[in-house]
Amino acid sequence: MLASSSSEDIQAWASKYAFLLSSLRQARARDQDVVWLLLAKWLKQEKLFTPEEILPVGVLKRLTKNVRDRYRHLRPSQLLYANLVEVWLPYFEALFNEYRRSNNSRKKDTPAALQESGFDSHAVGIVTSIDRRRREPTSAAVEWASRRLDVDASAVSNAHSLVFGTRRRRR
Amino acid sequence: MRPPELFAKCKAEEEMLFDQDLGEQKNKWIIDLTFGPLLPACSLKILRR
Repeated sequence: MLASSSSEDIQAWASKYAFLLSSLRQARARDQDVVWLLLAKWLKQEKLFTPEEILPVGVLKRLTKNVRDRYRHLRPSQLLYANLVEVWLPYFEALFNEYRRSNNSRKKDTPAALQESGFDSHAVGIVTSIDRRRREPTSAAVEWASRRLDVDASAVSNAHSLVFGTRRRRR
Repeated sequence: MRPPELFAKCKAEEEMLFDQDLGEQKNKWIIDLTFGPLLPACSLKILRR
């Protein structure tokens, strides 16, 4: 693989390797669990092994404890709501871009123009009917997800904020 | 990507999401949060959080 790599690739590999070695040296002097953490992150990032495959059960439990404690009240269904919003967000970002373009060009019938561009009529309906103050892709994706799940939009919105934060997607 | 293709891609991801066990989804998410990317900018202090 290295034979076909460019010099930039090789430099990137070398810098990654040097960083890993230096981090492991520092970690070794401080805490064995940090060594495990670094190795698990690295192998996961390289798509070689999952942390569950390489870490002893006790180490895995210790390393995930902080996150498990922090989100112990998060229900699995809330994670589903939040992930569903994220799944549809790229679609609503694209739809909003087109919506703004249509509005700027002062087309008379924006919904029809959006549908002609190939967007789903229900999605267009959400974007054009949503409250002006909330008119941004995340709100539309929340509304869309709540209809798919047949649950209240506020429950979906709260779950999404809890999991992904309210500011992350603001652009 | 054209809108119908993007719609189909999101729909396929939605189906994958619905097919997953909810408990497994939470476990996977905890693993992803704990073992996020190893970035050169990360200090050991950040990794310990």
